[in-house]
Amino acid sequence: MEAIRLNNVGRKFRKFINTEVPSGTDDFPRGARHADDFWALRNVYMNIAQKEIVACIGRNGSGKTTLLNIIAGTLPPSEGEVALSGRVSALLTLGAGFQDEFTGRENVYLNGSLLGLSKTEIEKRFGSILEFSELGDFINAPLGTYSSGMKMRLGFSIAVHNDFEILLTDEIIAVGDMYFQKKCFQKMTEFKRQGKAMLIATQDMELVRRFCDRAYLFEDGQVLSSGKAGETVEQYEKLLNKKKILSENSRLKMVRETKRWATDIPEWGKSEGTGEVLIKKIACLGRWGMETDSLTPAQKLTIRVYFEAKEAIDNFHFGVAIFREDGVYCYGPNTRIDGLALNRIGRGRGYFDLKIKEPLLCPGQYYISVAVWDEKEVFAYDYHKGKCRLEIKGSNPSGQLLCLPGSWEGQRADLDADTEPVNLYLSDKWEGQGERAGIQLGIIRFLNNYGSEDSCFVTGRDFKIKIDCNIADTVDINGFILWLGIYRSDGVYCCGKAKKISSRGALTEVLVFPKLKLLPGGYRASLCVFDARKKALISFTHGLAAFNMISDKQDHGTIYLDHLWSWHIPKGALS
Amino acid sequence: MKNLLKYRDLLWQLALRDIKLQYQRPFLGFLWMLIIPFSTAIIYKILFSDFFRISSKNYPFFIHLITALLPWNYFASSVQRANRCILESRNIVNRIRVPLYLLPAAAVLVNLINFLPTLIILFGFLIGFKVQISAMIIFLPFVILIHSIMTLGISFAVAGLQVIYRDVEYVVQIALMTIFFLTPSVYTFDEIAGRVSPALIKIYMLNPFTGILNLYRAVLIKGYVGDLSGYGTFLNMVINPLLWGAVFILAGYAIFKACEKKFFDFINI
Repeated sequence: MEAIRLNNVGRKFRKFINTEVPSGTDDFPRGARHADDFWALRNVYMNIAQKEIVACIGRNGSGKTTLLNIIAGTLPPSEGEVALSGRVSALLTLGAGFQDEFTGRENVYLNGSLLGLSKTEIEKRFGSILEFSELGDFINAPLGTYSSGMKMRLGFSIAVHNDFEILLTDEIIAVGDMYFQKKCFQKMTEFKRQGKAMLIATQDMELVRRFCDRAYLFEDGQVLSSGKAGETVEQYEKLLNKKKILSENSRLKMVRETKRWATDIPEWGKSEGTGEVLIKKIACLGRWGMETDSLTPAQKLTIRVYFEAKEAIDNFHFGVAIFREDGVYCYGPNTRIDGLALNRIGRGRGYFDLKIKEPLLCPGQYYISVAVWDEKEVFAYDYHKGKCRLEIKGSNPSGQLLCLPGSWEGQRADLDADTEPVNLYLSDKWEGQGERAGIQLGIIRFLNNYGSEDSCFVTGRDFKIKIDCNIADTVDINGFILWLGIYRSDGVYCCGKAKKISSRGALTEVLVFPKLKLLPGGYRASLCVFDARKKALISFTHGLAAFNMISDKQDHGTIYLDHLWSWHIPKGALS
Repeated sequence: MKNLLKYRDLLWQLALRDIKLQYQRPFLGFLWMLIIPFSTAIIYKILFSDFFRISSKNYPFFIHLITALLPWNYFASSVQRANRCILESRNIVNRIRVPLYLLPAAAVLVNLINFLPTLIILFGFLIGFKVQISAMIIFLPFVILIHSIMTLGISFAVAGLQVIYRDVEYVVQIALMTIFFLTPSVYTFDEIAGRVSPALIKIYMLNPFTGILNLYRAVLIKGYVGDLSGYGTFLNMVINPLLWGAVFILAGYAIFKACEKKFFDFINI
């Protein structure tokens, strides 16, 4: 049985930046109105079984505490869902509601009732709380006269005397002196014996190695890796020492290609499988949950799959894949990669949903394959290949695959689609004519989220492309467009952004992709200057600059789309 | 709201906390809750009755004042306390998962607990001044209930809004003052009715606190309804406060819930 399940959990905060207010105005922080969203935690999937002890490790600010607060319920998640089976005791922030004016005893009652204990329950436990806290007579003194260690001890004692099945702790085992610490540790071991699930955020690697079964390594609000406690600790230590987890050379070895093309286009429309589970119907749900076969690019999409289980089965997973009509693999998540344990399916009917908040796909025809797989994706119970067709409405003359959220630094809106060079007349060959008619295109540089130049990027981080070009003073730039496109290394046009050229001379332009979510593999960038009036290409370099994406995500396709699984599966005894 | 029963222990503990914080340290303790409204009433009595010669016909002006000031005090201090309650309880909101509506609810409960004993003193004065007590006194609990619901609704709204918009506190001060002087509290209803056009009086009667105040006096003082120069209709006296009560509690709770979603972006700044 699982105790904690997190499904694409994320938490967004408002980052209030007090912009400079001209001197002489009031002190009121007007700048606070300009708030940016900042994701402290994103795309976290987690599965913790009962009796399992799991550590969260990572540097300060990597999202550990945010995660624990979300699980504890003190912080609502901005997206995704948290499912808990059992009561949670959070030793994150002890002594909620402590009042300095009150005595220790009064505070026990106040804090206890905040923790959800009734008055009689507190009365029953009071003796043992007092004993554990070792406060003695001080329990009747006002809390204001306590030392900070005493306050912590009191808070800890109340918290561990609460009823719970899931324990969350955050660095607080280091309360009090050595003796008290030892006692706390004994208490933790006792909980372990009682079979309580525990999630511990800590910097004490020795504790993680000795005490925990598994560990999750957090970095920048995302799970960087997870696995056996010892291995994850080693990775963390590498991360601490180097900031980058691996050197550039070894990272290049990590670049692996995801599945990028459908291999079974002739079989589209057919299905195969062993038949224990039969997929009855695949539906795309648009706005208001209405079934539809066409969407606009900004609309959210739900793919719902109805199935019927002929027999009860154990350990299975759901998969969905989205292809463009020519077979380009757009995105293919499954519940195994996302670490969601689906243990048992009973006989009967049910459905599962894949909700995609922003399908970043450009207008075109798409085909969807869905499957119910066995545990290891060796055989499918039922696999419907390309059976469901989805149209994204709109015009897309250049055949872009993705509408990536990106913008030129210093410019708000994108240009209209018709000013974009249609297909660019760029050939399959990567080549360039960078100097022509007084225009000189410089090198394309790729910058990572720290702002330094790199050629290898982690999926889901900020990504910038910096372009230099030089336009001679004699050139008439009226109607000239600067365009930058990202191609997959196999030549599929992913995304392009255009900008009007407004001045001559040396130009430096920066194209910013916040949280670029291209999946691992090789990519290339092309740059051109285009005359929109004559529809003529002036100068270009096509695919001569390359970069790689790496990720620990196993998802197939080209782009990682934020998604949420949910399901309604028939429950029933295993036959 | 369903789980209000489940959390009654906690609600009680929170109210108890506030009461203890208020009265534990001062030497006179709980007595202050009795001293303050009555001393205010004495000041108003001297000012309005002895200096400005305002008088109520059938009963002493002092009774006129305290029947207004006691319920008003309950309402105003509830709203003012609720206004700050979330921000002052950061060490609860940030640390633990509890239904946050309990905090403004506790703020109202505390003031209800403060209010009820003053009613006993009020009865003492009624008897002392030989005021004829109306037979409708049996409806007093219902009046207090409507009043409390109204207060709770407004408390929810200001508690939620204050976290996000820190201007609310000042708006509340002005609004409270305005509402107070738009009720026949420190003056009598005749003074207004004689000088203002009937259309304005109708609007005046829409003031939710005028309705509640009239109800309090109607159930306490015999013959008060007759003093309202024909405006003491069932619609003005009963339906109006009931409707306002329903509107306030529903809207207030909805506002609080809407604000609650944003608390964590604003509470610590």
